[in-house]
Amino acid sequence: MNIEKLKKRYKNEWLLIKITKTDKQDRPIEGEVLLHSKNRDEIYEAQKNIKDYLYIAYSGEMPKKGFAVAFYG
Amino acid sequence: MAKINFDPQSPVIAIDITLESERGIKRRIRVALDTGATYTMIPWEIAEALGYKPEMSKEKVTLITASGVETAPLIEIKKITFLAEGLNNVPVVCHDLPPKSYVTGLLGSSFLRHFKITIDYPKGIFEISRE
Repeated sequence: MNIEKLKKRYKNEWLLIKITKTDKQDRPIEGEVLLHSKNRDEIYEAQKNIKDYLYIAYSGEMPKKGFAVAFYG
Repeated sequence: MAKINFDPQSPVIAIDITLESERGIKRRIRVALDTGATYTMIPWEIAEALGYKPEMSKEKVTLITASGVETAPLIEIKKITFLAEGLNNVPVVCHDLPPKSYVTGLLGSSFLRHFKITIDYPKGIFEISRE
């Protein structure tokens, strides 16, 4: 299924997607959801022993009001 | 040159990058574009899935976080690709961002310094190219 459709179907969740089709730049077009969860760490744990090309992302929008980000590294 | 559109009102510019290891294992993750970060940062578990062993790394970096000072391993990822631009042997820090950050890591200067980048905030356009 189309990646963008998968994001809409599982909105506001963390997704672990096995990529089944990519474009010329190797960007995912289609995939299969292996796991969806509100808990990010479940997704991180589940992908550990899978050798396939996987896409890991949060499917919701970041809150804009009252939300600020300061990273480090 | 490659470009993406972003929402100028979003608290971060979130982009997708692909990580590839010597074993041919690939992960595509959503990260925050962070021109102020010295290093690109990925979660420890993703590094392990790619076949790296962060705990064995002899190189460490010190991170100053809200909860104190932490030490994190530095590894070298075989290839990182963003849009059409790929870079080999990229130094990367293994460290988990808080879940509420909604991104999996950071794309920092250890990748970005190899490219010409332009951020047009009023128009919401990010461009990257090799000079």
